[in-house]
Amino acid sequence: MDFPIKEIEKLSRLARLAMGSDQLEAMQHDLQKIVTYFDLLNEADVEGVKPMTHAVPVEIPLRKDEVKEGVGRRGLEQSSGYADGFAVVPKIIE
Amino acid sequence: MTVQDFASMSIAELAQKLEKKELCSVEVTQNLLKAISVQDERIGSFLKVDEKGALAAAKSSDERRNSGSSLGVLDGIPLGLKDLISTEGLETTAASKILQGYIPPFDATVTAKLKSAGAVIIGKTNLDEFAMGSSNENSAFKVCRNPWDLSRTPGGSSGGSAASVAARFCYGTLGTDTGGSIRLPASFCGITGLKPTYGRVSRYGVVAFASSLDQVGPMTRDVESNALMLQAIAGHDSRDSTSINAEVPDYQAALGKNIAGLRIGIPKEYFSDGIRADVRAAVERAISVLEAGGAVIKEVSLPHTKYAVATYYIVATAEASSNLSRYDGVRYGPRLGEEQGLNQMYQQTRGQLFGPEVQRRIMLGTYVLSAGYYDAFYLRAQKVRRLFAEDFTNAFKEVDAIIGPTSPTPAFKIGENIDDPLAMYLNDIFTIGANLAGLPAMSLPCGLSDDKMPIGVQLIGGALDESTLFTVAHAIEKELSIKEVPFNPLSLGEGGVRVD
Repeated sequence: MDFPIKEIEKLSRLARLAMGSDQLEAMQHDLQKIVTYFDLLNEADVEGVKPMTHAVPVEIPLRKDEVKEGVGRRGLEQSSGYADGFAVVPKIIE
Repeated sequence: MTVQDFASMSIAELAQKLEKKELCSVEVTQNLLKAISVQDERIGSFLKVDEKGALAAAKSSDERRNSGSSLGVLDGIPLGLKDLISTEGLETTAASKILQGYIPPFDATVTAKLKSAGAVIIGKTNLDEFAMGSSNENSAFKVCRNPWDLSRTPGGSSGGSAASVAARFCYGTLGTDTGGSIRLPASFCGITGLKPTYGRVSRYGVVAFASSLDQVGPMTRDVESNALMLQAIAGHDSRDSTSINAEVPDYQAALGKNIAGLRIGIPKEYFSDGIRADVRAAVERAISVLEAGGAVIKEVSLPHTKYAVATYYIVATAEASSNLSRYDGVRYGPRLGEEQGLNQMYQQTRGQLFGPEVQRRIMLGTYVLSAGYYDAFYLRAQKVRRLFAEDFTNAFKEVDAIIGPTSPTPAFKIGENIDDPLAMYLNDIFTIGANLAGLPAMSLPCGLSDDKMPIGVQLIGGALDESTLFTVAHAIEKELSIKEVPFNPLSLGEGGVRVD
């Protein structure tokens, strides 16, 4: 598996991770090695096998439609940008 | 009675002393807090010690016992929680700078259950950042060392949870296990750790790593204490949609049961050439104990074991890259680059505050989920995961439990694998299977290595059959429990050298 540095840069943008050139190179080295190891799975015969997303069958459970007390706005108090009951962020639309 | 005496007791033994008023929780808690303040600087098992909260809880417990209204066996017992588990009003960091200063406004369900059983939460234990690691070296805050030999890792990711129990700083802890993060450190530190069946214990309020694999479980010095802790935390929780709505059995009733006739499977793939000779010999001794007790030993096959690590690191990193997208500087923790606009805020905050291993896994997860690679990696891994689960289903048609080593080697040195992520991942080869298949699995000590480090034996059970694991583990413990302690609990050797 060939991993050009441009691919690493693209991934870092998709993952929203700012990286310097040294970090990108280190990441290129590590990912190359790990993804090459992943190629081992090509040996497995998966013809006709259904993908498994969960270890146990998961159904969407339903509960009664009742109002329960939640964390509410207290949750926002942990934001670095907390002000007047809101989490303030930089302008989204210029 | 000296502090050494009561610090080494099991939960049941301490509960009895508390009940008979031979000890009180405040006295025990004070002494453990003192031991932590003197010794933990060298071990690094706690990220936060809640002295005030612990003493207040201990005082309330003593008052309950004095008034005859004890909440049960865990009332007044000092326990620790992996710092991945939310505690209302007490900082929860996941050992990451990106969550530094985060004070949860609510308790995780497991925290609430332990508190309502009267347990004294003594502090939050160290871990690999976001539970990503096998050595605890990825903690953003401090190294955690193995109490048996301070030059070695305690294993990971629940390294602090294991080290604090081995060091007698508390009577038990909760860890989490996504690919072996309870069992590997339990094995390295000579304690007992259980990863319950996926869904047996609520994950509500536990910082998510890989949601289809994560599970919370107890880490203790003995099997009975482990059963008592699982009893307190197991059960359905409507706030976790993956929690299983099934009756919780009496786990203590499984202890001391006759093992005659139990069918124990030995997977031939778990005894490959890669296992160190002393580890193999110790696990074989555990098998002999079961055979002598009348268990029927059978060879079984888990033919897809060689694909375990690759499958796991695709599935887990994919889920992690999605789960960790919530850490962007908006709602929790510090925020960087805000003045350069929203996108830079995301990138700078995540780029500078996530550690290297977390970034590596986010990048891997992003890659295997990205257009063009999804089918080749993620979808394929999900299919191999099913083959893996079917291996176990077939094996459990023939046996009641599976036995093997927890890890190919005892604890390795700090720094030994840190520059080679793939070598680090391969430590998880025997533990990953139970996570991929969602099965309960336990590690307990079965002897010491040639260089006097603990060796763990792993037991894997059928879904929701933790009871059989407790029965089998109890039988092994009776014959092979480690009599040595890592060091005299109140006098750690000079220069961090183990005192034998």
